[in-house]
Amino acid sequence: MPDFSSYLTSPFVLRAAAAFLFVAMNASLSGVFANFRNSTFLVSGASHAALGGAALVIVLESHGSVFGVSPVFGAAVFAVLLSIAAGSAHNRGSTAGSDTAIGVGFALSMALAVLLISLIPESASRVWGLLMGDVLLITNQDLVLLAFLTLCVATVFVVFWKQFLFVSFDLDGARAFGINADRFNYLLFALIGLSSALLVKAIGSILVFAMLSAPAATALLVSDSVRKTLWWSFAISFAAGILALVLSYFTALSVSAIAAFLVTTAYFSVRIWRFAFAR
Amino acid sequence: MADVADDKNPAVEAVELSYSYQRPLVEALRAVNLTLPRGTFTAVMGPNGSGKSTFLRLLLGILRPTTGEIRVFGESPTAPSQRVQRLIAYVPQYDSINPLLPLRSREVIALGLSSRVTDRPARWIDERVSQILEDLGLVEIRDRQYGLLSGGQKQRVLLARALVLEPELLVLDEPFSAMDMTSQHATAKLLSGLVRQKRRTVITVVHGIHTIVHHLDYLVLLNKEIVAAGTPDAVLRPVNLTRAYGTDVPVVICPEGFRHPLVEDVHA
Ligand SMILES: Nc1ncnc2c1ncn2[C@@H]1O[C@H](COP(=O)(O)OP(=O)(O)O)[C@@H](O)[C@H]1O
Ligand SMILES: [Mg+2]
Repeated sequence: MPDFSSYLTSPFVLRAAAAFLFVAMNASLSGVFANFRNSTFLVSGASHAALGGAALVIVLESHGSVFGVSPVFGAAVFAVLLSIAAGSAHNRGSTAGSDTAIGVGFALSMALAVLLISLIPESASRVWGLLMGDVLLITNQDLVLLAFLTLCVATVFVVFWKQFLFVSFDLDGARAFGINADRFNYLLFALIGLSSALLVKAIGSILVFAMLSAPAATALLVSDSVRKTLWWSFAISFAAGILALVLSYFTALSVSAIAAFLVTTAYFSVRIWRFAFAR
Repeated sequence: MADVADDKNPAVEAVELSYSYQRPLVEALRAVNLTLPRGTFTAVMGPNGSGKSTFLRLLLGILRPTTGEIRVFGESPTAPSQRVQRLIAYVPQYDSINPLLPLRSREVIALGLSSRVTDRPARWIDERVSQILEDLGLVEIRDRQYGLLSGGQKQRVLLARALVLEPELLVLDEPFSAMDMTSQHATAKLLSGLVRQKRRTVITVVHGIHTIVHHLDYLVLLNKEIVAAGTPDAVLRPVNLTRAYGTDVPVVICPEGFRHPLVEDVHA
């Protein structure tokens, strides 16, 4: 086992730390808006739909049908399609319909993933890798893709910030104020789906929900403004990632699992603190 | 094409206006014919689900008529130019708004103003927002979170968001429902002042009518179709109210001689 300081400066850990930086950026944008829209289930659905899409690319590749396509591409397409289906229910003003669309898409993609794994057992380990994730195995190439797509997501958020806030706050009002609310709703949901898909490679489908939604949910509990919510969400997510890398050295447990444990613990601690001491 | 500034066009003109929601299929409005001149104060009343909000959505250009037509200042509100949309401001039902966003009152108002007015610096927006908060006596809650305000305070913030646009046509959906008596009367007077002094047009959906009936020019009684429309005195007759609400609604006449239907009491 390497000593602690050479562990911290090893390329694996540095890449993982960089990945957590981008995870945190997604958590403070898509994660916060998923919470604003009461659509955190979408994050869970999209990250599992992403698994189906990624599995499809992996299997097609091992079959020789496609070549040089990143599984992230398949993941993104599936996740975004699911998000748009969810967004269409939101545009008609029904969150219940949205949850049904997400649940069905979720189940369909998982079924597809399992089916593909059993058809082509050689790819099973790669697909399982996406389900559980291992941030320490992230490659430079993965990292560049994660960075690039995160910056794309962030740019769209910055450009349409006001519209996203308005349609999330008051859908009919936004329409009456001349905003093409349907279009921005779809775009916002697509971004949330894209963020969920991006994180699959780094932390695994199962834990995307924790890393993307829980920091924002916690941030909302302790913030009284949108800006503070973003910063807290970023800080909680990033701190959990870094702390998980440190703790992983001492415990030899999975980094993603520790990080997810930390962010969910933070959420419940704040809830319990509130319940016990706040009015 | 009709000119928006042309004074001859009425503020609102509905011709055989019908609307059905598609999923699920619900007929919300049937063959509504209505003309509201400029510079008038109109209230729309009717039981729950009678199509009041749908009518407002049609005149705001949020929905397109299934059949028939609606024109605002002579133009279709769904015209791509958004020319008439720019003349309208809207106060939605306060409970249609997502309370999860921690926006402060002033941010709510600024969000509306800066969506409509895109060619002014942020400082100008801030000044206008401060001014309207002062005008409506909302300075104390300017930095409070919208989602944590009382219902009446929320309604006044939404009113401020609309008034700061200085609209030609102000459209309100149950703007008084959560206000205390004092705020209701103050708001009714303010709306009436807009109509009488500045010749703006105001259309409001109301549940209870006591606070504004003294100020109104027209009252529309709606139950999918128009049951009655005209001056409040002509409309507030037991026969009309029974047709609209499907049950007898007592009417009392106040000392100033205005008719008051006791609709809230029937609903309670
Ligand atoms: N988005 C929608 N989809 C389907 N039906 C709707 C929708 N919005 C309203 N409705 C239905 O249309 C009818 C009229 O609704 P609305 O205009 O909101 O009534 P009101 O404002 O008078 O209470 C009601 O039966 C309502 O259930
Ligand atoms: Mg209504």
